[in-house]
Amino acid sequence: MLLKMSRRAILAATVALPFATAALAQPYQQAPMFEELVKSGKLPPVAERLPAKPYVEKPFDRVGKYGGTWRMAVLGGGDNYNFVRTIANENLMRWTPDWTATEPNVAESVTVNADATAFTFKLRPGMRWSDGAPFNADDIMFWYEDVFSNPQLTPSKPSIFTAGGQPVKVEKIDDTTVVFRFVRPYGLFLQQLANGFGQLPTIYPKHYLKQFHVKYNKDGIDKMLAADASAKDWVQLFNSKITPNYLTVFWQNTDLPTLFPWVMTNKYGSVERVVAQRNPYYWKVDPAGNQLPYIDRVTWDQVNDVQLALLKAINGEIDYQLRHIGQVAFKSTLFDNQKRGNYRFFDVADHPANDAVLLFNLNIADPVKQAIFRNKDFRIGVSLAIDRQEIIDSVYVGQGDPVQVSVRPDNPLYNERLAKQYSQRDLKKAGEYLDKAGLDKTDSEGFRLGPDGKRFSIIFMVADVYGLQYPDVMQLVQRQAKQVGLDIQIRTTDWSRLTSMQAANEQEAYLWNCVGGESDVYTDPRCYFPFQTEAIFFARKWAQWYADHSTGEEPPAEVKNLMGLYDKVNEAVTDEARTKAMKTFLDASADQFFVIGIVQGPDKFGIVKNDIKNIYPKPLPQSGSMWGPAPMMVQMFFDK
Amino acid sequence: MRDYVLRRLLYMVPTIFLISVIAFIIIRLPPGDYLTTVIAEMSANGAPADSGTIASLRARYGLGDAAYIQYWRWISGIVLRGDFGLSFERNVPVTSLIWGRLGATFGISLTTLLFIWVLAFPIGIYSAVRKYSIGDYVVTFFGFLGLATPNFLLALVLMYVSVRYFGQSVGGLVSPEYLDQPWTLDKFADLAAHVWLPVVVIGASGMAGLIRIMRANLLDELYKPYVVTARAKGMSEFRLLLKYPVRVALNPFLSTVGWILPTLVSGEIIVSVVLSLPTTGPLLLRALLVQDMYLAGSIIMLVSMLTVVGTLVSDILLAWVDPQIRYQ
Amino acid sequence: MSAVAETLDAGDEPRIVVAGQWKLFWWKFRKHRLAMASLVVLGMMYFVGAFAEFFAPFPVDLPNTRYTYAPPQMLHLFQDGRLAPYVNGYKVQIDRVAMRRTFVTDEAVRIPVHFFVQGDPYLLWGLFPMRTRLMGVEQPGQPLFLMGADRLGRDMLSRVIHSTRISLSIGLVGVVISLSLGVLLGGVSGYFGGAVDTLIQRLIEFVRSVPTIPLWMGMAAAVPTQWPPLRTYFIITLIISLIGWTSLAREVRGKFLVLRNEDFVTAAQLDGLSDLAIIYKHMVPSFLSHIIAACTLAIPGMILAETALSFLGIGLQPPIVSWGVLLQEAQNIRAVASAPWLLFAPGIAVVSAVLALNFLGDGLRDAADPYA
Repeated sequence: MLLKMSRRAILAATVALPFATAALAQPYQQAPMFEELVKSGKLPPVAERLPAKPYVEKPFDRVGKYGGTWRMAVLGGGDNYNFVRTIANENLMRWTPDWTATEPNVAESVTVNADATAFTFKLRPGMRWSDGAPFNADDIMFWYEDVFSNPQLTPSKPSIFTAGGQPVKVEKIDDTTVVFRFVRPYGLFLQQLANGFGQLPTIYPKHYLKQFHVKYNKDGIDKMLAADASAKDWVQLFNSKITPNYLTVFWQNTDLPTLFPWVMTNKYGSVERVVAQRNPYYWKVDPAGNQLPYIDRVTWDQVNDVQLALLKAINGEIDYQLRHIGQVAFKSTLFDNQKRGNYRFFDVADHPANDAVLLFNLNIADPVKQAIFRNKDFRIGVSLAIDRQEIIDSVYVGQGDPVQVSVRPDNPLYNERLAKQYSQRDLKKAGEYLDKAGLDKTDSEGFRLGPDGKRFSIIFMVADVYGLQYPDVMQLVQRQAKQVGLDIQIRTTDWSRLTSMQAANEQEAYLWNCVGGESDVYTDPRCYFPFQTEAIFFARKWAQWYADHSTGEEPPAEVKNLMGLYDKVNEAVTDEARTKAMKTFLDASADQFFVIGIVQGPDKFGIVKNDIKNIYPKPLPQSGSMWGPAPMMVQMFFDK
Repeated sequence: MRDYVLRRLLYMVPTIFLISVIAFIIIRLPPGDYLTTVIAEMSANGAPADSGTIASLRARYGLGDAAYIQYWRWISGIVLRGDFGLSFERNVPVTSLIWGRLGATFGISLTTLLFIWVLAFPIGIYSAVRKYSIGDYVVTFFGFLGLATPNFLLALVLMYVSVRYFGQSVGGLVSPEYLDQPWTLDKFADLAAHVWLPVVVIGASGMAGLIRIMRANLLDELYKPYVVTARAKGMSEFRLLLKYPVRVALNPFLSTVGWILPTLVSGEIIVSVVLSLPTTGPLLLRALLVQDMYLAGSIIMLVSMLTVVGTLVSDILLAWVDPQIRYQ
Repeated sequence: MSAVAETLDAGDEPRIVVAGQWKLFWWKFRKHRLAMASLVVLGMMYFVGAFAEFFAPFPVDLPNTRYTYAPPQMLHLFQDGRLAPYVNGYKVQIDRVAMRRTFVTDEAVRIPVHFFVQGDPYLLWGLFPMRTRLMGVEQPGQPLFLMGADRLGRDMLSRVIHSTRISLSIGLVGVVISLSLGVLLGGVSGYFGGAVDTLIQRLIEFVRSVPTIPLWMGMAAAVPTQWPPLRTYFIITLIISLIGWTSLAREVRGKFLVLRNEDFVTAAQLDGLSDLAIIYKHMVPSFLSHIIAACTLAIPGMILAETALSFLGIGLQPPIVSWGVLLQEAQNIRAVASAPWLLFAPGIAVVSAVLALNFLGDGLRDAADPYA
């Protein structure tokens, strides 16, 4: 990947050059709404607002024209990802639209040393924040020295900025050059930076935030604290001005300068319509030298019920959206109303490793259940008892593959054993495996008894969210499991309830999906070994131990071995080495068979108005860590 | 009369104190707190929970403190400074969120009340006068039909019909194009075109109750001797009806204002969520779900308090009309 | 007053003179035709609910993969001029773009419907093993969807029948709890009067002023998720009835106060009857009929409250289904637009039960009030 990246970086530079020269040969153009402002002197001319070498966005179709409002729907609360995924993904690196390689984004270029321990970023001279203040190495150093390294603001360092247990060291070389150094090889770093969570270095504008930082403005802060009863100290004050943008606070501070194509003009949560206006200092242009984005305004109408979002869509009040709209259950209604809403569908390649996964809590406190859940024979038995096709037929209208948690077949990392093992229903064998696991006696109603002589009942938690239909899937699983004498009890609940359960490590089992069906498996292999510490998952205590050996619970040797194999992936320097390490890891993960996958579902979808152009022509890549479609939105335009 | 009002005002103090305690208990009942919700949302979206940020937010919101300290901080802020605390999720003071929405809530509730009265009043009289007639059965049937239909369902169906067959933009109180516009005559007309939906949906459930009260009260009066006397003296049936029995029957009718308001406000919560109205309902429901406790607590308390005040006002009105009540 | 005479035929006059309270009550009640009809409807609903396993063609959560969102079938009674009930099969196609199955009635396929069939074994009331069902098909997997099927191909008729038991019993159990609380507190309030009365009246006012939905949500959210569904069901019922008692308490107190000063009570006192005898012989009968009426009128509120809880997603847990659960499942545009039977089946059940209970309550109250 690294080699490919470097090659791409060079390629990007050489490709960008003719564009850049072409762009220099002609004056830059701007949106008509800025012409007046420039004439009246309220705004500098467009050439001064752009960096010396703007990022040149290659249109999917053609050069567009300015104007229009992009309308969407947002939930009344907690829907930060609606903004994050549409207007907020400007990191040092970015993924190519097809999600196969990374390339410089905010950075003009990047060079990596031979053992992948030092990453040198060249920034764009003349680049500006959305309020016109220059963006340069000082902003990144502000993040590094005053936010990231400040023990009060960042008590524990985010894992993507650590390697070998040590946090990154950032150095400023000059105004436009910074180096990120790690103590151990970290070949995945550029991917992590291109992912959504790689945002941190480029969201902290020093000129604005230093007034809230004790190091720069001690006296001023005391006054502010006296005036603001809700903050008790400078840390709280600072955190009320900025957080990472997946938290709501970020979207409620309209004074915060950003590098995004559109900037918020009102606070999410307090208004019925959230509006973002184009950023006059946005640093990307099209090949003809037009400053991007093409679309003037983005609006999100607040809805409290997703059904209303669907009604808005069929009434033509949504221009482009996949979040909330792209639910399997909505498809037929949307299909029937395409004409009246004047929209069409686009495919979304959101490829999780599995769409419905049974996750038994391997760290459950109850010793009887723990012993059974940890027994691989038990998990094999359950897996063999499931009629995946029945679930696919009823819940996914016959579309999808009956496989385990696995990388998708079109990906080079595909492992057939991982995908197909124990996925064929076989009630006789399932019974044998369950017998072997110690559940060999039954009661009068035909349910299996545990080793303690009591009926072995498993309480499965299901969250009824995002139209994922998990309660339905679970109900079918329950019936199928009953046929081999397993008693499954379903409890439907909401996410926050589940989270408090997992904090207490109380949940016996639950149903959710698994990321890691494509290249994101490199950075987020949470279903392949105990890796996820905070979210509710299958072996939280082992994962905690993996993150920090002084916490959690030490796992058995074979699990530790698997952890070591993933460390190798993280450290690999070349693409070839990394792929090889990953394949070894995945194969070893197949032996453990921690979780039981049910289906890799059909492609997801979104809707787009017929008069919107420059839409990515292929299925739009999406994943939990890659925040689309934001990187492709600046070139979208209305052709009325 | 003054004593009566004073006594009632005095009773209000412990009631309101109790309400504030209950409001606080309600929001503390579910396990977890607001930050559990934040972590849940982050992990549902695949974000690594950033424990540093979470820890500092926990400190900022004072979520680590004991319940009684939190209660004291909240209630003392309200009593001493009129400060209802901070909405965790919205990152703004609660006061800046609720007053406008409270206005909308009461606006809709009062419009609904008016709507119910205008319909329930004649229907009630009719079905009392024509007891057990086909007409009585038909009107009471439709009245009860409104009561019997779950209003969230009615809201969704009416919304779908509006979109599908009339092309009307639904959700909220105004069309999207007016959302971020200042108030103009056009916007007002647009509001009027939208407000019927929530009013009908919420009103449908309250109608039957009032029809029944009107009918029962009037029936009580209709056979009293003074009516018979008036009729014997040759008074026209219509005037007779309006002049005495209806007026007497109206008294208890008025007293229903006190309890119908909380019913309407509660009914409004679910309907407002379905219709996405800018009222306290969705705000409250969301606040309860994510345990945004000062916001939820403040709304519960304010709505309850206004109900108590409403009951008081209707009682005082009644006492003023009917001296007997005053001295009870 | 003349009201009794007015509602009864003139020829009944001698009978009225000698008729007891309950007889008068019954005669007057019979005059309210809608209430009589409602009584019959409710009787049938409770009966069907009580024997839900027998009346429902299928178990409550039996999915049928091939028939998701199947529309209702018509039950044909006659075939070739003789009684041989059948339903037509469907021609099913999967529309991959719209992601749905499309159904066309297949006139050529006739699936015979049998009455009193032997189906899957079940335990009636969890006690008696039985196999007989009112109607069914010969082979498992054959479609018999008289009210259509839901998103998992489960028979709506069966689901509605099963949920009838839950919803109606929630109303009944809830009212019993409410009534106990209401009679106790209302009685105490009306009997003692004074400070106790004031205190209880304030309490009632207080409970009424707290918005119900936050109260329900708070309590429902505090129910541990590990609890079995049946226990959750009882807790939900309890939560609902905790709100309902206030109106009953008011009713009881009001009646108590009024009756205390009635002429017939004074007359009885002058006759030298003991307090207990007065209460038992004179007050309770007229009092009881009012309470019955008030209870009848309180049940619909409970049934609707349960639907509201289910809407909020804090109601019952599967496999227990109620009308509220079914309505909540139908609370989406897809059902409204293309599967309206999902709404209508439980919707009609709720509406008819609530209507019937209201008319019944009205009739009971009219009959209970000697002046109306």
